[in-house]
Amino acid sequence: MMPTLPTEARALTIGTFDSHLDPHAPMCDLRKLQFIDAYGLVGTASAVRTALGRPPALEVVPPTNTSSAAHLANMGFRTFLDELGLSTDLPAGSGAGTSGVVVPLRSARLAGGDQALSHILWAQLRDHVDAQVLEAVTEGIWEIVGNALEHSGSDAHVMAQVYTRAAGGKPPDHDDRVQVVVGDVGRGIHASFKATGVRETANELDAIRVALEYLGTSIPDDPGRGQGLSTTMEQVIGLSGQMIIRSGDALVEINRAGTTERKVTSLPGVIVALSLPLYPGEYR
Amino acid sequence: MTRLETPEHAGSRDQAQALTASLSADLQGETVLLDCSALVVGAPSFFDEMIKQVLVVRGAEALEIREARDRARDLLERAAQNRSVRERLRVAAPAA
Repeated sequence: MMPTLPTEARALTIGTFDSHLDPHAPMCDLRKLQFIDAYGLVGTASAVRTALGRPPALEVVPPTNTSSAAHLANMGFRTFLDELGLSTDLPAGSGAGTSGVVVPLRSARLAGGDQALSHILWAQLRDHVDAQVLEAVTEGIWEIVGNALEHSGSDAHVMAQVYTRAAGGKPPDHDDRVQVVVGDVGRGIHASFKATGVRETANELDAIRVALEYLGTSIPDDPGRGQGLSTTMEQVIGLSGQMIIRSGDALVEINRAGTTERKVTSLPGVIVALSLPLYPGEYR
Repeated sequence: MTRLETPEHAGSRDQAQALTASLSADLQGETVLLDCSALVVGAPSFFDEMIKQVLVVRGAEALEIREARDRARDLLERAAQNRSVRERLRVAAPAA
């Protein structure tokens, strides 16, 4: 069976990643890539991790465009591939070719990995976002990484980036955002509910809906569990942000305007993305 | 009274379990003080696990919260409510 990988995309972003996933991809072909955001990178990392160990041997072809290749390296993709033992022609990250603040892709494992991540995020983002936004994304990271480590049977990989079009001392506008994304390559939310039998879920979409309920949990006999994801959602929406949860073949997007649900190309594991304006109070 | 102090970044159940590990297994009749003055950011799971470990598992008479900002107080109150021990959570008003 061929792996599911992003291929031949010019842009791998929160809005385009899923349409570029090929379930029969012979390789992770990034030759045409010109832009990738944190969601695109975490999604690509999930696809690559899933494809590892499946024949044929995985090949990751870097972007032809040198500044795109440099940006990808600055986002931590080269280091990530190195850690997986995959050779690539990507250059080492140098900072060139990337604007804004990047918290590079990194793995969060048990034994304090989440605490280290919280410190890194806080230190990197604190001068670039509103205090409430900083608190919301840091709280969210604790909860989402905690869920991944506890329920998925896999470790998590995380990346954050601040996107700003402001230059020359101009104030940030509503398009200036921070994106924080967590992925794992575990069993997915539906299987997690199924394993404990606490709540019956019909499929991945249904499982995401239940996971978003306040106190919707797969943990038996512990009445306070299951508030992390819903509390994060509440915070993000309150700050005019957007939250995306992708599990297996289902994706749910929530923002102030409402909730959108759709089927997507199946990818093992869960991806959760938080995208918030840097200074929401000024644009409410 | 036993006094515990939160770390600056407190978000996981593991942290709450580690923080309460030195407490006696039975705290009936005792009050535990949680000093949040060092707290920079705290997540719901940490606070829920603190409530669970102190008030539910060990049965303390009260968990008294000091120097907590609004967000931390809100999360602690919600957690105590969910675990039906709200009446044993005492939240002191922050110093002016």
